[in-house]
Amino acid sequence: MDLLSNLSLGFSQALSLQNLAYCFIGALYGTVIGVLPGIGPVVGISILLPITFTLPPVSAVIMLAGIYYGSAYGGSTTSILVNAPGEASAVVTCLDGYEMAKQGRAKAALATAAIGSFFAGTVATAAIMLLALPIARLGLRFTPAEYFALLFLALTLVGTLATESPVKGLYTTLIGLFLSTVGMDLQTGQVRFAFGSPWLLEGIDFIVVAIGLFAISEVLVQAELIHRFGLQKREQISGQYWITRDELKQSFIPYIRGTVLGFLVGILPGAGSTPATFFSYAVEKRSSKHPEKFGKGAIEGVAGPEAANNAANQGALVPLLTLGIPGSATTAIMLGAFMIYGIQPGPLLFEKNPDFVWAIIASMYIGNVILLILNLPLVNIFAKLLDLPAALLYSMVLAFCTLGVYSMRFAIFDVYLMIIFGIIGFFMKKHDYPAAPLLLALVLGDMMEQGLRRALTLSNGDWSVFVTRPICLVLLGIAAVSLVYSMSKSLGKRGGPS
Amino acid sequence: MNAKKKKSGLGFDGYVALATILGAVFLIVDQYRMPTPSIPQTLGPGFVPIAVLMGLVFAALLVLISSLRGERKPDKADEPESQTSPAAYRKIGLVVLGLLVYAVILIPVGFIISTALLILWEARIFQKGRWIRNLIVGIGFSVLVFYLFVHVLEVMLPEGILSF
Repeated sequence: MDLLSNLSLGFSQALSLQNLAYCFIGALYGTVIGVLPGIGPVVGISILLPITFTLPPVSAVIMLAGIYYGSAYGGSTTSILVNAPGEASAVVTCLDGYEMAKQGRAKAALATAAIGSFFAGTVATAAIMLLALPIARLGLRFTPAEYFALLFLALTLVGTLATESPVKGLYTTLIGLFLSTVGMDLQTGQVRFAFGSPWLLEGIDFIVVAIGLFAISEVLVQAELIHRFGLQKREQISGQYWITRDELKQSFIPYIRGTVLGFLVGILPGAGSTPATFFSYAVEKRSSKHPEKFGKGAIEGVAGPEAANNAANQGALVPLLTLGIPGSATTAIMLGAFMIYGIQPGPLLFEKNPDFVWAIIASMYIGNVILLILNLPLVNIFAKLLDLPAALLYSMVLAFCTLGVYSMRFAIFDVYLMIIFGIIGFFMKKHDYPAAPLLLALVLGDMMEQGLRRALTLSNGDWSVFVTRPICLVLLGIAAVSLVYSMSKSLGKRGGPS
Repeated sequence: MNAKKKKSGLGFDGYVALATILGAVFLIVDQYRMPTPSIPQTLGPGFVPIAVLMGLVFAALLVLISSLRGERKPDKADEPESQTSPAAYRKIGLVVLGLLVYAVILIPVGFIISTALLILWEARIFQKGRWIRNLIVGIGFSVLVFYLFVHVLEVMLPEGILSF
């Protein structure tokens, strides 16, 4: 069968000693950044990117993918033991996970999170396998016009639907698009908005922006939080058993529901894993015979959302791999990384480099097994990371960020730019300006511009190409409706007397 | 700052929007002054930047309108419990200052010494005391990372005054 031969091809690559090693490093590093509060996958991958440039692309992407799904495993540890979610997608796990830890059931909470993540990760990888080829084949029929429309739709959805304030989401999306135009134009060589700076000729690197907006700003936020609330203590991992048969039984149905829900939500651009976790929690609470137990240590409240989180992460890889369209800040970073390695994700990737794609898919099965081992019997070791003094942790994060940005092209200019984006990011966080749309627009901006110009060159400057092709019309139509709807809703909404 | 902001009606968002509009208009004018490229293009290099900047003006206007009408729900910074106090701003300023100084001295002084100093400085902002521990961790960290980058990953890092 087509699928099986592809998969065995993938495994034969993924099981090479070198790729296994990188898969392990990725899973390990992903767990660490997931556990460490304030450092998520966006930052973790950005810091590491410059030193992966010399790796073979397959190994590098296997490692990045490991970091990507590994961080979701580690995130639950922090939620359960410290009640401090590292990412928005781990907020829900705090509700019942931390309660369980306080009742001395930390082990069961950690176990159900790890097993649920493993279940969801594995099932969702299988789903990617089944969906990837048909979607990639559909994508093959896309012309530059359709690509432009698809990118436009992804940006619109991320900017306006996935944020609390669509107006501010639109604003940061456009800032990101503007930043993407800085530097030399690829087609004509004309320099735009560089203001005589030789460092801006190559444009503004998304790594600098990502580290500034996501990492530096987070350290600044933490400086304020620690100033105000002091340091937080963690719960100990106590108890004799990891998880009882009954607890596993209670978790099983939530795993399945969480996985299906999460995967479906994850595929949609702009949704991401956070709504998937909230959604799953609501479903579990509603379908429970004892909804009053939720928030007081119900194991289903950990099992469902954790499965949903991982499934959504995997789901988001479907549009990324098959169409080259990222739907979140993390997948945008992944896309940027792919392009640095000279890989253009999209339908052609499946045609031209099947060994590459299938090696990554195979590595995800392996990675999830590694992560289960790392996060269940060995979770004690990672929990020790939480005892690391915050003062040292954040100082080292600042040093690593600078190192990551500097080692890209050895330019102190980039370090200053990172600091500026860090300060901007701090105020964006304080005033609810979402950073993810900005980053996504920065990564996609160039592709969109090239797509638009190529589409118009092909049509001899005829703009009607965007409305006469049915797929284009539908995609742009959805984008327009969501844009108008969210803007009018956001502007028409009357707030309270405050 | 926050008290003043409520009285004037033009809060943080309002100032951001006005600054954006001014900046975008300046950049649009700047872009129009660009020479047209010699290669004939269906869509020249100026089209997308100008379209994006016009979109940005529009988005900034929306931010301004919603800020003036006060229709959005108050953001986090408006709630008293999450207002940044002057003492906290001082701390944040010190963190940024440390980074800026680090950027300035990184090349002349070298990676090892400047990174150890950065860690010592930043750790002091987060937590008082523990000088000896921080110093040991700072030096250990920077030596380890330097060795890892230069000798294992073969990424050049500035040696500065320790070069010999």
